[in-house]
Amino acid sequence: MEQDIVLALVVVVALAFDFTNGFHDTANAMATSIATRALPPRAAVGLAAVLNFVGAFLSLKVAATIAEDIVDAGAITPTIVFAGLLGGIFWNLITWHLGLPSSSSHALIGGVVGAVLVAAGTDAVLADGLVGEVLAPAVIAPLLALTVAAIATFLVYRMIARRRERTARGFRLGQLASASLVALSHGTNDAQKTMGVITLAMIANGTLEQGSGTPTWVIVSAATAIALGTFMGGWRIIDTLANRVTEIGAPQGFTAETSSATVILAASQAGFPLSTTHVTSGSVMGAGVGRRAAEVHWGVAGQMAMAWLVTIPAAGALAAAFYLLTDALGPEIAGPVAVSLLAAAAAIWLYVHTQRSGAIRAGDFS
Amino acid sequence: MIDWAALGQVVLYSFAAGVTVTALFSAGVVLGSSDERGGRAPAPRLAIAGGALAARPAPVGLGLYVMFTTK
Repeated sequence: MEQDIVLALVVVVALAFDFTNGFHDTANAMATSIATRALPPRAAVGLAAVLNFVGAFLSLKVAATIAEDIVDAGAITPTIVFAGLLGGIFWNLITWHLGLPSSSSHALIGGVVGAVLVAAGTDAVLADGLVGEVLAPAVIAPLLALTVAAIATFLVYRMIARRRERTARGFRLGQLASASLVALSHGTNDAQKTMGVITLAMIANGTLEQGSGTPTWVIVSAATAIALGTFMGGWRIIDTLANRVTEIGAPQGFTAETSSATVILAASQAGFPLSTTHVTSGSVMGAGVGRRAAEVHWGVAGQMAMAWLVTIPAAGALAAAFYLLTDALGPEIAGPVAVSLLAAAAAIWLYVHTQRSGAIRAGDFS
Repeated sequence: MIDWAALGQVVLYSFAAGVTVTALFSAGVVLGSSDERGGRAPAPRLAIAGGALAARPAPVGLGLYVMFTTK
């Protein structure tokens, strides 16, 4: 009975993470479409929400793979997953408060690594996997996307030299196709991480047998959570990518989204894990560099790069604190219940405080 | 530690697809746009533009295929 309550808490916290993942990453696909007015803001996040929902059903091959090459699978317990998810959620909320597009996947991985470190020690963290599958791609993704987008933007602006106004509508239409692909692939990749976490917890609890497929209710609830989060729209982060990194014209919106889509899909094809957030942020910077280097606000870009650097250690530190608190209060049931209530109260406070101290809404982009 | 072969593929495909798709589509948009006085583009130019723009669903379809089939 007690184990089932902890499992239920892990499921709720995993879906909460999925929700924050959705609203934190809405900007990835739709910030440039909103900036170029290819779509009205509400329609853009609505389209992204539908495509994230559909994307969650496209491929179901991921179950229970989150962090499997990064931490020793034998060391993972429901309490570690619980603390890791809370670390990821709070890092997502903090970076949303700051308007910084950081990787939700890295927040989750950082959370799990932090909780594993305090629970099982350094031997349970696989350094090769951490460097090869997380840290190296984190450096490569934005640089690659930036370079591709810069070259594509430079070429496009040479081609349209004296026809800028007359070609804008065509580029907006092309941009929508690319942005839709980015939203769809985001749903496919990110909703499955939540499905994997829930499936893993159910197997650990004995609710599912080893090797079982992901239950339908898990697929539907994860798809719904990420779609609802996306529809809520992380307007603070959308504002950063749409307005604060560089001024985005219709051709740049097209080149940025097309570069993002090609880099993400090329990485999927090669089995090389890249963060959607790092790729799309790099592409937006590249679209600025390709038009005129001085147009990129490097101060904002530097803040984003700093957030990427500290995401794993910060989410890890938060998760370690949540793990130690849960363990101290009683890992069976008292700890998870008390920490869940505390975390929910802290998340609500942060949300309300952020909204009161200068909310950014859909109407601000019209 | 780092899968250099996979990374090489990602770099190659990203540059090839990213630059080719944007250049082709842009050519279609430019050739299909009206001239400086707002007049319609001549028929041969419209035909080439149509061809370039019609190629647009191909990379989208390829992207969907990649999503459906990746590990």
